[in-house]
Amino acid sequence: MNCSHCGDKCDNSNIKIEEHIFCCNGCKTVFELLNENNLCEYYDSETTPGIKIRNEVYYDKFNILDEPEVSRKFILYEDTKITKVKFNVPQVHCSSCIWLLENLNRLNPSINNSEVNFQKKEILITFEKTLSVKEVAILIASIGYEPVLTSEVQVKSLAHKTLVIKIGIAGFCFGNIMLFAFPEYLGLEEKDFSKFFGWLSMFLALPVMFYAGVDYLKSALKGFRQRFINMDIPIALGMITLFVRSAYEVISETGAGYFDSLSGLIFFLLVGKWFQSKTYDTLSFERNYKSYFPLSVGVKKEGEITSVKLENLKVGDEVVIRNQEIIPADSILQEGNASVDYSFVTGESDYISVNKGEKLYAGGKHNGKEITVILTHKPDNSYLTQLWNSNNLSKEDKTITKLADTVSHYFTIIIISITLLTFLFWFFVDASLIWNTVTSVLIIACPCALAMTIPFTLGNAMRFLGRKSIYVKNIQVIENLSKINHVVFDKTGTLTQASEKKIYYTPVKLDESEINIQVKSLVTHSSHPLSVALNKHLKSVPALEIDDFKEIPNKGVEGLLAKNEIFIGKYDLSQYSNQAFQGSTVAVVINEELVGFYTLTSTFREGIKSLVQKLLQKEYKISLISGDSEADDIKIKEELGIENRQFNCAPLDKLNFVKAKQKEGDTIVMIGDGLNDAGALMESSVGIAVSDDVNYFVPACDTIMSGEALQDLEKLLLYSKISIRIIWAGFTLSFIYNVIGLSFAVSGSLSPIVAAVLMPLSSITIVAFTSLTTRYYFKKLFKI
Amino acid sequence: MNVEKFAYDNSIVKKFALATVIWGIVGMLVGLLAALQLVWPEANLTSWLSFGRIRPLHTNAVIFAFVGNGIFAGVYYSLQRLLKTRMWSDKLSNINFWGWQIIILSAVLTLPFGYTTGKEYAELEWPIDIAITLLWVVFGWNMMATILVRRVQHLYVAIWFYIATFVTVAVLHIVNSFEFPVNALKSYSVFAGVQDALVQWWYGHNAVAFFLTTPYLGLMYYFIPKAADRPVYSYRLSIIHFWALIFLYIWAGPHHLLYTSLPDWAQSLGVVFSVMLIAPSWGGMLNGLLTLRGAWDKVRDDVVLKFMVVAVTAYGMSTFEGPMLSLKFFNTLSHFTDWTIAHVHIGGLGWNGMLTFGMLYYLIPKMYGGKLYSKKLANYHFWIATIGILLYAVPLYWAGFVQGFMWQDFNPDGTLVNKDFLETVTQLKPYYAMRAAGGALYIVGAILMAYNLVKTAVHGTFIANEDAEAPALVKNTKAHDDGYWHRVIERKPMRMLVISLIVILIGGAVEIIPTLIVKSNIPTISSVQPYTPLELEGRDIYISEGCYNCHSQMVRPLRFETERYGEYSKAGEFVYDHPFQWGSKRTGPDLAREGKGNKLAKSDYWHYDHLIRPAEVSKGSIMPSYAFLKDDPLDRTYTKKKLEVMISLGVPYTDSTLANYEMMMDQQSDEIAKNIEKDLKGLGVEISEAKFNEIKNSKMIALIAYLQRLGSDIHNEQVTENK
Amino acid sequence: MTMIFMLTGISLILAIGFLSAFLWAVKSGQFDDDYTPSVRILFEDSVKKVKTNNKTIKGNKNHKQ
Repeated sequence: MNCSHCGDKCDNSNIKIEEHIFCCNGCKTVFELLNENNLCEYYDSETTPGIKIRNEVYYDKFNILDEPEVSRKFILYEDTKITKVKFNVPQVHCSSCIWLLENLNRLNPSINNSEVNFQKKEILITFEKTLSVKEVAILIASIGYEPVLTSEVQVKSLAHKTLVIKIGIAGFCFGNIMLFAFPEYLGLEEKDFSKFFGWLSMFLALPVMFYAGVDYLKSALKGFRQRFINMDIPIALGMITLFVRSAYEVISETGAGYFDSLSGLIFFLLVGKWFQSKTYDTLSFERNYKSYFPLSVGVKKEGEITSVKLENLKVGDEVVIRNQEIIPADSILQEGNASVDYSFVTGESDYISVNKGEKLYAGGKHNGKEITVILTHKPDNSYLTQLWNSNNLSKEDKTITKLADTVSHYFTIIIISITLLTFLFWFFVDASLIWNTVTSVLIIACPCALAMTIPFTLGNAMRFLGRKSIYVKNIQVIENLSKINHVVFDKTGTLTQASEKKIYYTPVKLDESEINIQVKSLVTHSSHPLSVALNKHLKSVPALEIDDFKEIPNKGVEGLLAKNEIFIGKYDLSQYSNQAFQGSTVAVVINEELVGFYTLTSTFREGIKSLVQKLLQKEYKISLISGDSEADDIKIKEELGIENRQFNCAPLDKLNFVKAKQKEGDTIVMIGDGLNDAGALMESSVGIAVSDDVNYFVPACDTIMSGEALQDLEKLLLYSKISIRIIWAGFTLSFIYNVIGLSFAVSGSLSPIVAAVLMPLSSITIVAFTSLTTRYYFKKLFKI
Repeated sequence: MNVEKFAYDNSIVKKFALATVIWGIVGMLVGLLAALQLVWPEANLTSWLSFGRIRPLHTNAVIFAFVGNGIFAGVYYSLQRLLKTRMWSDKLSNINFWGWQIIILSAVLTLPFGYTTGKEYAELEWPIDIAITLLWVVFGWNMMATILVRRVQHLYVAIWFYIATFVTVAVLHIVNSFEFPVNALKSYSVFAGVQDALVQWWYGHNAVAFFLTTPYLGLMYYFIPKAADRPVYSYRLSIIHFWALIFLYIWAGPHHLLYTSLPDWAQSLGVVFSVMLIAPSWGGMLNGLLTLRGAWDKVRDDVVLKFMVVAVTAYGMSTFEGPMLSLKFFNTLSHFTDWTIAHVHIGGLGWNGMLTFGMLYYLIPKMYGGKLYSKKLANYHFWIATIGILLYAVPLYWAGFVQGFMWQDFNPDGTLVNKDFLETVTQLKPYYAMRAAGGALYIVGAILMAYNLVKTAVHGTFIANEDAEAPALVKNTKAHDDGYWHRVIERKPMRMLVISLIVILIGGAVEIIPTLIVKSNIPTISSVQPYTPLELEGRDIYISEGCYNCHSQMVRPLRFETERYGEYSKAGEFVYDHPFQWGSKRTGPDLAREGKGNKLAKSDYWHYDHLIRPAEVSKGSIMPSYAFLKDDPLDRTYTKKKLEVMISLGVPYTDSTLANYEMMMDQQSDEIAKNIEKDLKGLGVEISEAKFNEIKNSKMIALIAYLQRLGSDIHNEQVTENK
Repeated sequence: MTMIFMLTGISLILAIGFLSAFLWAVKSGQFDDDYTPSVRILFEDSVKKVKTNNKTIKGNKNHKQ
């Protein structure tokens, strides 16, 4: 049997409506809600489209939306009658989701309109003032689409739009100018037409030159001012010469000009730009600690709880933290007993129990009854978050000098000198040809193909990698990857998999077979990670009814089964430490005597061993820096053979480690997953964040890859190297074209048709060549 | 503000759907008649049922009545649902419907009686042209207004196709219909010869592009996903493919005039763009087919999808064939043969026909809130129609090759193998018979559908107003981050439309005025003179009988043509042809060099005799008899007016001509009549004075006068090129 | 061939008309989302006769098999 709402298995579930079985009450509630509102079409286009309602949603967290300056972040538009908000809802996954979310007004008539953007996983909701932003958020959360309450509302980049427009205009003019140039090409021109068309082309070329292509002129000028030769200088040179010469020819009626080549050149360049500007809408590479933390928290003042924005928190504030809320800053526990999950921070998803007066670190997630803490730091210079404010952390110096710049540097110099030589040559031979030849040289030299090699090669590479769920931030990253010589791993959540545990039972009095039913019956009722792990471990075992089940925070679970008092959880096992076990233990106690215990150790991700071996063969330096204890040290040494290991690293240590190594001249790729790696991730030449759900919490980095993809790391590095080689090949190709063209140019025999053919031809060859080769090597390496 | 309740107007859709079915069957039957006439000339029962008049009726009926109503039905259905709103004005909707039907009726009442402009696919006379323009504006007005009051912010790609259709067709129709009226039912195109030809085919091609293609692509993008219940394969592709198509299509016209007297480069240009068109066209086709990827099981048992699949496939075929035919290499062979006819029918029967059928099978049950009366019948229809198409197209393709090659066949000694054009015609009869059979099958299918749909309607209950509800589109919400220009969106489409129309019209005017005043700079040939009044009248008879439907007047500069007909045609020869009569199909031989002084020239009597009993004079000819022309007296009421109009169009008739035209006509007709009388005597046939006068004053003589003039001027003098 | 001027002019004006339409569309965010609309058109927005909860449940159950 599967849950009628979310489709999860739920064999022995007794939660039903008529013949509909549900895995949990959450799913049932949603089903009822939809059913009442006659929204069951939701289940029509997809079977069981629903989102599993993991333990009930904690609506408290939406209270912060009562804060005007918080809710404002989600509001796109507001007037006296209506409000329009935009939320991120990562759960959207099928057409039913779209249907349901766009029919919200059936659930609440005060909602006027709701529009989903499936790819961006966004929803725009317009509603009447009778509703508040909070209520709307709660409404969609209640049906399983819990909006992400982070400070960043994704803003569609206008830059991208303008680029599309520019391409449109350039393409349009290109097409028409070519059309007018045809009589010319075919040598069929009739005097008065070529004149008419000449002027028309010039008219059409204006927007191309001064709107679509203006960026190249600008950046060239900029480069010129900064005495720094970039790729745009030869391009701009070519554009200007093309335009001036063509204009001259048309006005003086000496020819039809090269407006077709001009517009074509710019069109292709822009297409290249567009191609490399691929972005992963749903991912964010720029998250900083703010996106993990609540936007505001409840602060106690004379018994009153007022919610205060994160920025405005002061040391000494008494902050109230409710169940499932994140600790905003380092603090001391004041009231209640906390059980904190530092998984954002360390990746380790165990609950650590903290007692009154003990220290709590920012980024931990509290699980249990409401607690009160006193801040010891401001949020922005907490143990973790200070990383972002430490000014010694600068994005700039990580980018290695760009390939393009080096190349264009020499290229430009060569071109200028050729131009000069041509000038001098004709000056002495036949001065009348100077204008023609010199301009021709500059036209031909315009490195269109050259400029397209990099975007198309790396743009393709990016797209292909995306298929393997390796999401690269931008093409520069691939270039950096190719220079890596030192790979640094974080342990937990990266090498090891937080959720997957190896579990073995050590019998003391009874064998596992004798107690597994009792254990199963208990753990099914607990949501503690260890219980969940055990439950999974005993999935085949049936569960029995338990009397007065209790979950004792930070200790374990207990209950009565067949008059027997059963306890599962923490227990003094010091006497058994001779079994040199590592990882966490769970004792099984029946009627107050220990019958045996489970040991749960984290396991390496699949393919890690072979990955590390491959990397070692390829003579990469490998280091491991972990925030945890040496617990797994031996294992890592023996099983993986990583020599350089460091444990108990504070986030800052990790950062400094990377710094130090880079000082020694290493080019480092850091692979981590937690907030505590964030500093190192940013500092290293390439920071790769590993995550099993790429839509969720990922620290700022250059690349996001899914857990399974990690084993392809070595392929990734190799592929980036290959891509760079492809670029070089592309360069040689385009140089050949340039040489051919130049041979025409210097001899003063460059006709518009030659230019018009050569330019697109070279560009298209480049595009074809790069696309094919990148694809070929991708398939070859990643075996698809 | 809350959810708004409203109702979709189904009754207008129903009306158009009904009209589609009826006119479809009518138009196809007329086509069938025309097809039969090519096999049995006897089928040219009366003057008003003769091929020359029937064929334009067929093309107009299927294009503007069948497809036209189909477009309206589909647009009125999908537009409302895509925009979540009722049509802006039921009144306009109904004006659109009834107006359109009246126009069709007026076509039925004029074309068979010889009232035609003589321009292919634009035969309707000027009053109807004006009516069409107005009706089209009504349609566009209603559509744009509906877009303004929509409840959905995003305009689905189909709607873009509809808008493009509206704007472009308006422009094309207006430009191509610049006519100078002589009387209520007669007008002359303001353009002459080459210029007229260029405009005509610029229109002709784009009529195909924007009346038979873009609206149907729009319908495809709505009905295929709906019928298959899955989103279109790639929405992004559909958007790109729309803009690419729009930017390219407009240029492709001139390829219809390859090897004609159009300047080479203009021709080549047409070719290039036609070829470039493959990309966007196939973008559409692939997108349509791939939408059904992995759903072929659905296709197997959903008849609607079956029709759609065949339609899209046919679209793919003809959009591949089109560019191919526009290459000079293929064009040499295919042009003027039945290949062209086969090509357009793959598009017509396959793409437009099948898509329309599929659409109707989807619409009617939906609007009658029931199921289709008989899936079985629908399946039969599908197979009959498919086989019908094949049976229609394959023989015609073959006929095309056969005739094309026969025309080109040379003997080793450099003479033509088939000197007599007739030999190449008699060959084709069996193919024509098969084609007729195929067409008949197709019609049977259509009738099955009609029955099936009527039954469906009877069993179901019609939902005239389909209730729906949707939240109103939130107006003028100006986002304070990114570009949500709602207010702009609200106003823009209308403004855009109005502006572009005005601009187009102004631009048009600006362009036209010079063309009317400035002396056209075609290399003139001094020896080419205006037609005599009698010849002018004869030419009008030639036009109204639709001779151009079977006879071209354009000898291409190809050896096998000059060998057969003589000197190839020069642009300068047509400067006084309002409208041009180049034609596009040679069921009979080319007539550009039919007149005196050419090697093909024949005696007046031969023409007289041939027009009366073509089949006897040239054995096996499939030309209908025009005996009635010798009985109908020539009406000279408007001759003077015609001459005056010609003068105002820049034809240099002298005042004396204007003064003495009656006398001139008498003289010329007397001459011809005498020749005929003489030859009759030779055959031992005496005719009475009365009979002589009857012949002399008959339309026949005028027509002969015109035929004898064709392409003869050029021999009178040396060609003198002067710009 | 003055006609060429005329047709070029008209075609060009027409093309520019379309170009401006294109620009408007991009600017106004018509093409920001190039997937969801294709799904959206599949939903029927016509009001259903209100079914009793039982019916709906049954209906959707049948759907599952």
